Amino acid sequence: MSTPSISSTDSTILDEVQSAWGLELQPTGCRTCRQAFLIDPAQLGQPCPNCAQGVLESQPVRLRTEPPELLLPFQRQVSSLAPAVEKFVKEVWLRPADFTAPNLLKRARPLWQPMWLVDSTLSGTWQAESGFDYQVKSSQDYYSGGSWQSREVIETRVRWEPRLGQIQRRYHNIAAPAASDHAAREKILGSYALEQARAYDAALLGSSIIRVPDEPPESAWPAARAALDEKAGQECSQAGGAQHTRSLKLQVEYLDPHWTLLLLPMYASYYLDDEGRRRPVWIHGQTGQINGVRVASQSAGWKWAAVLGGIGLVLLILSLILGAVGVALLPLAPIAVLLAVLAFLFGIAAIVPAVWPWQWNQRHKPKS
Amino acid sequence: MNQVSTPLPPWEVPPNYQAVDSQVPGITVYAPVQAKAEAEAPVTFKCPQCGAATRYDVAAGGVACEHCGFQTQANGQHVGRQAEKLEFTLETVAKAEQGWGTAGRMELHCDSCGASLAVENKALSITCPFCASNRVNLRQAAEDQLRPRFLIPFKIPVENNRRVAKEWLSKGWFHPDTLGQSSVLDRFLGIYLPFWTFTCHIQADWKAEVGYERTERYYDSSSKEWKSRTVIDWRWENGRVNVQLEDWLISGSSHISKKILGRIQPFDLGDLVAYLPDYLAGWQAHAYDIPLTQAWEEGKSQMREKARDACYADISSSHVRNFTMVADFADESWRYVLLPVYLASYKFEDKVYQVMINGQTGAIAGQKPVAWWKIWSTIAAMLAPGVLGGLISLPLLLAGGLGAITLVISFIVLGIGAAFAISLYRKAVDSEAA
Repeated sequence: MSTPSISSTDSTILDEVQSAWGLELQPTGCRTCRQAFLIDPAQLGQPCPNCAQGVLESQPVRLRTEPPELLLPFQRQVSSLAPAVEKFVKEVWLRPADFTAPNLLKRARPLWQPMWLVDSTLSGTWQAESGFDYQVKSSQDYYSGGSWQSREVIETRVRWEPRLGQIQRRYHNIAAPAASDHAAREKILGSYALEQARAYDAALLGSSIIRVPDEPPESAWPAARAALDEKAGQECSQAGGAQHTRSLKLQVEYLDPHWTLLLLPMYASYYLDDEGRRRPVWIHGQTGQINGVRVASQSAGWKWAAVLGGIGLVLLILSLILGAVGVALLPLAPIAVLLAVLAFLFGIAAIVPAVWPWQWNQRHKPKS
Repeated sequence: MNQVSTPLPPWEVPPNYQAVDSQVPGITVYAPVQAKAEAEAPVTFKCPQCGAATRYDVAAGGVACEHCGFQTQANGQHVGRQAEKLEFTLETVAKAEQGWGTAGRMELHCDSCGASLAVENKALSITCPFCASNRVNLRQAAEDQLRPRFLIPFKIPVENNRRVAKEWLSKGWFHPDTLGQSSVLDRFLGIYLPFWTFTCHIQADWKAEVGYERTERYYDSSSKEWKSRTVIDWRWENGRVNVQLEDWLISGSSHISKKILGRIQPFDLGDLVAYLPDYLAGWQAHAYDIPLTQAWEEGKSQMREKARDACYADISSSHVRNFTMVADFADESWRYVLLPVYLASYKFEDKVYQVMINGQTGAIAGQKPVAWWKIWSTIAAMLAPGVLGGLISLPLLLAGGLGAITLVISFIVLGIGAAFAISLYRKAVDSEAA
């Protein structure tokens, strides 16, 4: 079986600011994560929205000449995200000074993630076991006080029957990942309600950043084919009036495939950790779900430990002085003991902020 | 046309598949051809050689002609206990509740001689009284599942019945002496009777206060001494019992004595064969008149009692109180089968008595007259020692001496005699009951 590809006539190389997809677009790339983006020329030199480590530099980009077919509009504005971002930040007790909700919101930039949309005709045969629901009458009988009482119970069971047939259906806009990290991103941010997609409109993009697909159709084809098969399977089941399907086997040809793009909305932001490294944070453009690596600040931990330890030390010195005086002036002895206990408690408490950032960062280490 | 896969070979609809309605344009659907609930047309059994009526012959195991000796084997598939069981689907239950739809009698036209016959509504087969031709499949059930699908063919030849009946009539000492000689049992009607078989699993959860005996010593202040007594300690217990009940037989006929029918059981369902009209040729067969749901209610109440017995058996003490249980039925299934029975009746002193013989095993049971004078004489003989002993003991007791001992012995003897007398009386009543 051969896989589809975009012919060179379908695409063009953008190497400088150029009008494409109804916008003036600057082709850029990030040297760190090696992802390509199309941006408003004014945003050149901004941190990379994908990894936040590198910056967006001008570089040639291979681009489909045909504009995206659909996009999912942003449903959450940055201003409406403040409470969720505030919560996201405050879950970290000892956080870097730069890790604040206002900073994240100020730096949030709209980013469009690409996804392939495939149209194809499936022609061939199918075979499956179709499950039909039916109900049976059962009962539960209770014995008490020398007599029986019966309660009718209706159970739903599934009757499986073989079904087969032919299929000749064209499917439109079957989505397949166009970004290599699509599945990982979907796992942490959640999926998109693709049924809310609308026709591409350049006006809706404004000065957003558009990520260029790094998965060509050749690589996306297995996922697209699986999605096509799943859709066809559902329809085969529906065709036979069954409620369930199992052991579906499709033997089909995939005819006239047509690939277009769908753009998914998200916000990309970042904050600086103790070492001044940029840490990316992403926000789902439809649901407002936030994700990103949150690091705790070890320096803030040391500061708190020093403060608490210092108080403990002062209390210890005071208790020793009062203890020495207490030898002569007996009523001061209990106060000396009390101060010694307090000093001990502060000393113990000082360990917590010293250890907590390390523990948090271990627990929330990004999985490589 | 741009394509991304290799062309497929041409496709043909597999055999035994037929097109069914598709709810999605562009997709065709084929399903296996269903074994249609074919309305089995009435079959007339006539000899292809001589034209005489043929009937199922037990010894030959097939349809035979008594005139020219022509025989064909009845090739009903042997299914035994593996015979298909059906579930209590709402659809089946609803149809089963409709029963046969009509009542009374139906008009039938004999293909052989053209006579019009009035046939009892529940009859599945008939022998024309004018031309003696045998017809089978007189009824069509409302639901395919509710027609007989399995049966046990007759195994006992009708010729054996007279000898078996004679021996049976001669047995037993409390029947009239002339019963064996004067009663004639020569007309045995071989009939397939309708039965429902039920199978289910019961998960029974029980809870009860269970008592455990304990011996304790206590001080009796009246006699001023230590004594022993048994006390029962009660504690709440619970448990779970799983009971699997297979092929529970419930009669589908309301006109046959259940008592006598019960005595000629069991039937060995390992001999079940798939229904074939051949087995019914020349024999009577009745369809059920107790519908599935009614029979299941009866079967269910018997089965849950079995589960209750199993729960009691699970309790490690005989002292039980406040017993409650939940019987959760699962995997309930049923079959509708025809089982072979010979019916006969005989007259003795102007009274008619019923007899049944199991057509598969030859077990016989029925009503038998009782010589009541023998019963009363025996009862009197059983009670006499106790009564006499008592009468002798009373004056002795008044006179002092041995009276007390003999009175106790007399009471014991009277008690034993009464127990035997009651048992004998019940047996005698049972013997006459239908």
